[in-house]
Amino acid sequence: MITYHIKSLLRSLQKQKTNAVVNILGLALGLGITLLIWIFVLHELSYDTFITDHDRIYRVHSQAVLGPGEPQEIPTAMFPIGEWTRREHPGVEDMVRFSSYYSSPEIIFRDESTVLPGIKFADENFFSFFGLELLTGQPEEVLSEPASIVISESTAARLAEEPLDVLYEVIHIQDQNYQITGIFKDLPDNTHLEFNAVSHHDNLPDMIKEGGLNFFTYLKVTPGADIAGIQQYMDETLADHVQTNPRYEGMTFHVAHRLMNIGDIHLRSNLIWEMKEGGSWQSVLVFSLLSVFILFVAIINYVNLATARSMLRAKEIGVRKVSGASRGNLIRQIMTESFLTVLLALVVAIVLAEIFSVWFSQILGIPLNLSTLLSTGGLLVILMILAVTGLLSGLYPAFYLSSFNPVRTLKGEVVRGKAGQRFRQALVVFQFTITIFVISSLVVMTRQLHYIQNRDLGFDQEEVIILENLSGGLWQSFQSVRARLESIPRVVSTGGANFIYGGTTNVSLISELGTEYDSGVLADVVTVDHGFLDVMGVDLVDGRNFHAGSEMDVQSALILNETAVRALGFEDPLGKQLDVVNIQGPLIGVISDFHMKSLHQPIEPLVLNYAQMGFPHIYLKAAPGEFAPLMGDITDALQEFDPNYTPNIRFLDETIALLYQQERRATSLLSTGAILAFVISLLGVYGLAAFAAERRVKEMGIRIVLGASIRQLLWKYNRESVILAVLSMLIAWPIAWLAMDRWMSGFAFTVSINPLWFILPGVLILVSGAVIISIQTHLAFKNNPVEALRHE
Amino acid sequence: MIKTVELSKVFRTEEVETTALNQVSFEIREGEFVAVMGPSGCGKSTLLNILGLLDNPSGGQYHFLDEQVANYTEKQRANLRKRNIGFVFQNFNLIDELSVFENVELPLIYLGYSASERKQRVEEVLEQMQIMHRRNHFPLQLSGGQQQRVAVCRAVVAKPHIILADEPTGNLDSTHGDEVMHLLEELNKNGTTIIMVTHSQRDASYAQRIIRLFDGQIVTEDKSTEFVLTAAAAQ
Repeated sequence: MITYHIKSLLRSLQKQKTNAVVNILGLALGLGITLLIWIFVLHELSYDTFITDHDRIYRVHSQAVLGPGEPQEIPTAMFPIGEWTRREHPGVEDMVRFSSYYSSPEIIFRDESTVLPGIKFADENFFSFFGLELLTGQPEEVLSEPASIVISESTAARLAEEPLDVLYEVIHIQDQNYQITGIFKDLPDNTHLEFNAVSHHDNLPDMIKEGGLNFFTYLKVTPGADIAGIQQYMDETLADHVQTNPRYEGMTFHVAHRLMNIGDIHLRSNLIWEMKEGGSWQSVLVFSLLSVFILFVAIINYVNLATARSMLRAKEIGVRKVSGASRGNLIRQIMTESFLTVLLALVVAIVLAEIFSVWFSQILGIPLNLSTLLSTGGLLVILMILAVTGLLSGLYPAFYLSSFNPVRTLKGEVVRGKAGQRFRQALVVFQFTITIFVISSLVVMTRQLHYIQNRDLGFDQEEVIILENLSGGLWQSFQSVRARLESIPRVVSTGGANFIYGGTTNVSLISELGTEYDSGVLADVVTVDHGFLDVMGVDLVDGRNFHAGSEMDVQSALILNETAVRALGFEDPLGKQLDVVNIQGPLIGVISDFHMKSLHQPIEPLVLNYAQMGFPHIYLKAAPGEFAPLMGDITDALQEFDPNYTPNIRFLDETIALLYQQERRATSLLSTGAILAFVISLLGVYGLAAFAAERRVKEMGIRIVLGASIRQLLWKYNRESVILAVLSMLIAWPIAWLAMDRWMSGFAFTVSINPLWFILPGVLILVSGAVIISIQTHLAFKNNPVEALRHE
Repeated sequence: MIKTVELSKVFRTEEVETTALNQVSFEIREGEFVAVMGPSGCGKSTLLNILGLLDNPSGGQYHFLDEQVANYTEKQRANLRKRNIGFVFQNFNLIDELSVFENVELPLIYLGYSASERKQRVEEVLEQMQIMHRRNHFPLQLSGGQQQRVAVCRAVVAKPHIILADEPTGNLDSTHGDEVMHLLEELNKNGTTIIMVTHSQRDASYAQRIIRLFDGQIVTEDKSTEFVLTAAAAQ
């Protein structure tokens, strides 16, 4: 039976080529983007699921309250809390902790110096806890000696030609020797963990363990454990510890713990200090919705064409009925056809997905691999897509067509149900609505993105370069390094700072010295040198900059931004004595507000203090010109101080652009979606119009005989589509407006919405539809429909 | 085999009510060849559709193989129809996308025959109707006469008790028309009951009996060509 259906389907596709192309191409485009989006979704959902017992592993987050205001959540905890909980709480089976200490320390291996970023210092059960694969060494033993280190496969490959040869050799890191006791397989891409080497936390100085929330802590709970109960236990235990420990006397120190399942971290955590940039579940949700929308638009095409062409099939249905087919037989047949068409379209879709996957990977910023579809999850997704698409495409046509009365269809009576037509119109409205919604949203998002990227940030971002993560050698001779850099002709000025633009800063309470604690405000605290404001082109509105080399300024001078001055309520700010954690001193200057973070956030109070050395990053302003020779000069200059140092160079404007990567990805994907929705909708209009024109030849002939002009005919045949398009606009606008209003609420600074952004997409649909229908009508008109009357 | 008692059919649209059949009673015995004649719009096709279980009557009784089927559901009718009735239409009604073989095979598929049985039966019939050499052609590649022959093959392939033919020669020239009539005559001789709607006196002459309809009523039921208003006379 199935071969029979395949044969008859292929023949009818062959016979009606336009119909076949519109149907299969429309579906294939919709299915193609759905597949790609779902590969992305599967990738995002697969994070950390390779870890043994991932459903029972939780990371301990701390919500720390620092002064007044909202508590801030960070992904780490105090060193002992994990161990106490493992020992005392019956719901916790195992625990592991680790912390960083050096960001990119210099190491010496086989008498050669290099850097080794990403070293973690962990409990000895680190590898067995996560079930990470070791190429050599036993998970339980590799970290049993404190002076041991386990390095990644790629680190080993970087250190030696034969990676496995490095085993038991010694790495020298900051005055200490570590023996390589194991090599672990490089971590896959789909994990929130990131490290290149792991050693034992016994090597860390005590101060890291004694105070502060410095340790990533993971608990493996027993099956069915009470998570809230464990959190409460940790809160209480820490509160007891703080109360009874003289170390915390007089300090406001309150920490609430929150456990997050390791599988949720990638999409739902996104806290400061994460090991790497997380994904966002909103993106996953929005992208999935987009795929559903586009698939719907494609399915609607299929249903519309299938039911519109029902006249052509009416005879066949009638014949089958009188030949003994029951309604069930016919429903099965039409459903089978729809499934086969979807299957055919799916094959085309997979080819399309393969072709576009590289480009799509760039948009989404993750490697998309079509082989994901061969995994269990992937096959399930394909089956689900096939089932849903086949069912939705076939159901209505099947019930509609099989309901035909054979007596009438065999007599050649035209089947023209009002209900069928209404249904088709409703589907077209739905299709247009989705398309207008997607295009309008895209326009708004693009305008907002354009706005934030072109907003005056309060400083001059052009030709500013950031030299990140200087080596220890460079830190120590910082002022000499600066002087040497400034001797390069193209370099205009340089300045040091302890933060990377857009990254995290220290936040602390600032207040006027001698006032109540409550009158303080939370501010970002950034340490800079006297060159920083110059490089950034930030205006000084009052007072002065730090004096170069002034020991006095290092010890006590502070500069605030205007927001901080306002927040503190200073009328005449200069000379006020401020209290900022470990610095107390006079306010020497006020700078104009500038954006230090993405425009998602408002400008916060900012306090600058002064240092002359020990900066991890240099900000450098260059004169316009080619950058390649400048890079060479900078590298040469830095290597005079540290021959092993490879500079880590970033352009400030690129760094700023990175802050809106999520939005740019979403916009790129949405453009693809919008184009597809638009193309598929128009394919549908084309299919329906071609079919209508074909059927209307006789009607047109009669109208022309009776004196109708082409203009009258064009209006007659466009009227329906115009009405449907206008109706779609009326539905799509409020939805798009609400959705975009919601999206924009995520930004502190937004562009004002222009009604044209909603009107134009609607008009675009209306006009494109009219053009297609007019061309078809015109073609039919040119073929002299009066001729057709003679053949009736 | 077939018996109708005061069979009526009324079509209603929003404004108009049309009586297509008005209390029609007759009987057809097994093995008969009956022609139904009458002017356009007299109710011939409506009667044939009801007899062919494609439609239900609005009133009266219809006994098919001794069963009262007037109130059968669509499903019950379909079931009864596919086992017992073959159709031949004026415009052939072959499916263009299916080959000759596949068109003829259609009723057997819905009866659940196996592929090998179907092949055997279809070839037998095609052979019998001398159209075997066209088995892989498509309807549009055949002449009208050949198409109708295929349609007859399809009507008889499942060995139905009865064949309903609706103007089977209406779209054919006289030579091809005669050919088809001979086929039907042959089938009747071999025991198949045939009910044929026709305008053609010539075709009707192949039948053993003629039922004449006028305005939804039977006016005469014999081989005579004269109109006798029996219904009126009876009153």
